[in-house]
Amino acid sequence: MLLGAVLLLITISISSYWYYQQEQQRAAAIERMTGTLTVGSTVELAACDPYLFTGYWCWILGGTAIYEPLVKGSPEIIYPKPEDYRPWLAESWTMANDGLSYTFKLRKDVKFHDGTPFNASCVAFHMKRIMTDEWAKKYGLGWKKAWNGYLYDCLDDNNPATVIDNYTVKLNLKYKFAPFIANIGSTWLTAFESPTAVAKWGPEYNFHPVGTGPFKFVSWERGKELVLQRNDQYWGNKPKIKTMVWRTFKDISAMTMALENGEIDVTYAEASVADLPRLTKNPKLTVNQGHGDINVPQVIINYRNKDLGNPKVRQAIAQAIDREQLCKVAYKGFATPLYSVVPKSMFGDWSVDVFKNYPYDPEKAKQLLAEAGYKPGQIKVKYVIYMAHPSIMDEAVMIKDYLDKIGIDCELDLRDTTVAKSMRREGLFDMVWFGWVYDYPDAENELTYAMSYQGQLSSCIGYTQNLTSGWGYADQRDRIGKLLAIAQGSTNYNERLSAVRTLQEIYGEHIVGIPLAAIPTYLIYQNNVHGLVLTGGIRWAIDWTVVYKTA
Amino acid sequence: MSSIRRFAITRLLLTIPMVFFLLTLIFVTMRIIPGDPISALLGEHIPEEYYQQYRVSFGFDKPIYVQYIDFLMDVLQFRLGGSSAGTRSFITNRPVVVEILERWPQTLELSLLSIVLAVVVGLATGIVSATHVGKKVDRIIGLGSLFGYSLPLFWTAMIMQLVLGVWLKILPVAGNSDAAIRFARVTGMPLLDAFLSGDIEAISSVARHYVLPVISMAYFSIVTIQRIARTEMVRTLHEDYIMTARAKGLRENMVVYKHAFRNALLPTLTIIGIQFAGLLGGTIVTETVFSLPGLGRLTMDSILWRDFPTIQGCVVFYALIVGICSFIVDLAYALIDPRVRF
Repeated sequence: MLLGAVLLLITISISSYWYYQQEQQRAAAIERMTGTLTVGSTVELAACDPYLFTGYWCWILGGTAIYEPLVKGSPEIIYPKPEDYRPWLAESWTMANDGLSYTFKLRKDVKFHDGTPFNASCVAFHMKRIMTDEWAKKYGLGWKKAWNGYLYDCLDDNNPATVIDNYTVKLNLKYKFAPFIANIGSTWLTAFESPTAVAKWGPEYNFHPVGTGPFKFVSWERGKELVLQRNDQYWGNKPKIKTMVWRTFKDISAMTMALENGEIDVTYAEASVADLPRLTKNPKLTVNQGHGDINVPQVIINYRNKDLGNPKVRQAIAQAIDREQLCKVAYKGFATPLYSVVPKSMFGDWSVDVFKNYPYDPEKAKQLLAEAGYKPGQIKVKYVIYMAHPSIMDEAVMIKDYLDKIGIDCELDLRDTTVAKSMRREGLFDMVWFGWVYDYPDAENELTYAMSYQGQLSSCIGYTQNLTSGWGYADQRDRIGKLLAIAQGSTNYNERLSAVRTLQEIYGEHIVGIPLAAIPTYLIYQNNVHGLVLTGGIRWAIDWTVVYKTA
Repeated sequence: MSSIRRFAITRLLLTIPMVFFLLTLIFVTMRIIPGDPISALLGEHIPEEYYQQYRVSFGFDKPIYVQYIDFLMDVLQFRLGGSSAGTRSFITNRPVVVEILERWPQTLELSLLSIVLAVVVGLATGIVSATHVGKKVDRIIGLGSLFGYSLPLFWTAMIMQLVLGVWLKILPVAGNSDAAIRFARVTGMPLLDAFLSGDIEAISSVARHYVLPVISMAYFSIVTIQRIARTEMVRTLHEDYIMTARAKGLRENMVVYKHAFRNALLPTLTIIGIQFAGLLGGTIVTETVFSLPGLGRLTMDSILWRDFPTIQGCVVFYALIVGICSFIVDLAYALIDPRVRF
């Protein structure tokens, strides 16, 4: 009896201990699961150093978690005006009367992840580092400015920042730039790296980034993942998530399958329209449509092609394309027709739907070609495309079909991305696909790069050619220059609005490019992820501090 | 000097011109093919002034022969992280050697696991097939081989992801471990590192993640090894000494495994070595489909980005590895079969 009682006691003890261990392990597994947010992307992170950021993906892929700007958009305002931006690392700011500088008063309670204080000297350090070649020369890197220098073009090269006192800094501009606050609030122009860390790591800083953001860097295995951990000394709201893992997928299908299989929590800004109907029906996933008009795809037409230089031919092409059908078929109904490179849904009154002047009318298109003296099949064009997104091929095949129907012999020229971009830069195309993503939510952004002398289309719109009046913008160069100066620099709202609208009218009049369809972007995530709110300013600026997961 | 030593020295010496030739070929090819690395890296809306500066910093302003000489000087002096545009990655600015050595262990581990699976399954099915010639099991294995040869790797991989991952939720579809599982990187081989960490969950996570990529990589090799093993076994089983062994009353298992298998193994060994070299060089598709951060993906990304130095480095590295594998196979052959002389 005694023996039986002892054995029973031992059995109960062992069972209790085993049960306790199981519970501990289960709790640890739940903690690990709910404490870790995994974000998937098919874009490989190129850099963790703002100096080396080559595009908005670097900013989005962890940049917004490690680094912080001086100002931020507000969550409730999707596309903020400059006055809608809220203080962030800066408590307040003022613009000089001449518009050539902005003075920022900084927060006093911000520290970098390495414990060093954030102050005006750090701002000046960052600005000098990205605007001059001093840092690059020190390490024999040979680059004059930070890699995405065009975003910093407005800053004074020689004196981008002046320290007024420990927490007051003045940023100096080369020219008046009305969207400056929008630029700061949306891009990595003010993504501040710790001077101490930069000094310590030198060129290896890229693999040891130190910012002020809510998450700090843990590790980066290129091709696999970037791991960030909650910054428990963060000056603002502490993140609820303990660990954030940004996983890279080479293939969008693999990423989508990983999401459906529960291996990742969120896919960031990417989904194939072919997968969307299935993902929308998945009871375990939430599909959140982003503010997709930021992505403005267009067909660019090269004026240097002797046939396409004829305005009637360009108008015929514009009127041959049925945007409604393109959205229904190529984009499976997940896109909306675009009638301006300044999308109306994004910019409201700033947008002029100039391409509604060229409604879909294949018969009119044929008539225009005949008036221009062309017989069917006489014009032969190559349309250069690259797989910028999964629906490009479907869209291109439809465009080819539209042109074939009006008598333009269109051949699709599918190239790899690098080759296509080189061809585009050098003007080696008849027509080429081009997708513009706004760097900051200001209508001036695309217009500057589409229409300025230094813009990316200059090689095909007559600027670099000794062409007579009537070709491209050549005869309107001065006028466009003045309008762009107003669009960039005027602080008078109505004056800027008028300039932006007029620029769109000129763009539409010349039909340099034909906007196609506004492609939405999607945030797709597991139902147990909460708090994914897009803050205003740029589509994927998410406030990671409020995101959390439930078991 | 023994024949083996002479053979080893000759092969080593021949490697030098091979590497030199490859380097030259890749160097020239990269600069001839269309696609501009500066536009790829920085976007084409970079102002002309910056574009020209980066051309100078990458050395593209110099004539090609000057770029080539600068590059060769770095390589010959083992300045593999030198300042010439030939030895540092355009994307990360790190020495190419560092980039390759960081990614190589993943590829090596994947290939090792695949070849082990391929050898075990390939030899086993080859022997079963050979000992049941013309019977149902032989025909079933033959049909499996046919499928293996016919189906493209990427298709098989994606179907397995869909069925076993998304539909049945048995296995993960991408990566080499769960995001929430953390363990120290010691060797760079995830499974080995998980073992070294002693964390059962980590080991289990990595093992589960490896099932699909290893199977999809091994499948083609299984088929190849199976077919060769079957052919060699069938041939060997018809030899006179096998008949003698049977006549002496030896059990069939002993006849097959102790006598026939060992002799059939020799030609199969050569195939195994070639298959392993092929696996090492052929991980691009698998690593892309399953999002594994190996050398194959680095090579593919470098090509897409026109990161010339990394492409050059990867190609030469692959060539060296294949050369080493081939050398080891030849040596192993000589060691196993004393009749073999060089």
